[in-house]
Amino acid sequence: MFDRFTDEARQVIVDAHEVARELRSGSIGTGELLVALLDHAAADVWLAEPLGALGVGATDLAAGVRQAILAGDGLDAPALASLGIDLAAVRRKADAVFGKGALGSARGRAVGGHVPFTAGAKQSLELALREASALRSGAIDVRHLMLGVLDGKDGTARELLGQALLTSGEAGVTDPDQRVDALRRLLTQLRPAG
Amino acid sequence: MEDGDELADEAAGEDPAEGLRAVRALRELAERLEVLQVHRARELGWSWEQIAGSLGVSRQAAHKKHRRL
Repeated sequence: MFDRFTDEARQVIVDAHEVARELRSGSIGTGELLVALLDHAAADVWLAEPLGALGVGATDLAAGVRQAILAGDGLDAPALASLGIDLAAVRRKADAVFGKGALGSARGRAVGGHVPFTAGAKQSLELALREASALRSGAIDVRHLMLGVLDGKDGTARELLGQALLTSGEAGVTDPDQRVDALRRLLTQLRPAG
Repeated sequence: MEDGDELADEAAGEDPAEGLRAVRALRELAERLEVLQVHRARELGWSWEQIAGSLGVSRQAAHKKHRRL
């Protein structure tokens, strides 16, 4: 699937892998892809310019998204409730026995070498492929990846980016969704490279 | 948070997507509790033999999975 990726886009995938390790995510989701893209943005003309629409620097945003990923502990309370498990109760018990926040800090600790893509991330990669075709680009580059990540059905990357915008401390960021939409528009308006 | 009973109904409705999501959530929770419990047991001086026995796995499997703790 990666044979049509540009070298830069491939590097983003490799970096997302590293981000997942760094954040102990246990898997590469759209959030980890987003962090890798933001890390990459400063050095990439195709991303740096559209990202200007967000009004906050890519480095600050990457830090914000990292924090947002770490803050959410990745446990699926509603799904556990469907089995009759009260996650809040388990959390209270874990806090009491192992110390506060123990359940969150145990995230991804036992994970070995393989870090898989989540279903959401896989879907975003497929979307990137489609975006590239729609924009009549032969190769899949970082712009297409960013579009695929932002349009992901699970909405994780969009939500994380919104949170990072709100916590950036930048005055006047009241509607992060609007800014993300503006970013999306700019990404699709760019001419294909070459 | 979504209503627990409602979700239980969905699970009973045999929608694989909901059922599989629940399995995944349960596995993640179990993994984390295992990490915390094994770590604590080691701190309390348990041997890998004892830990593996309680978990119902081989000593090698327990050690391989948790030795970095």
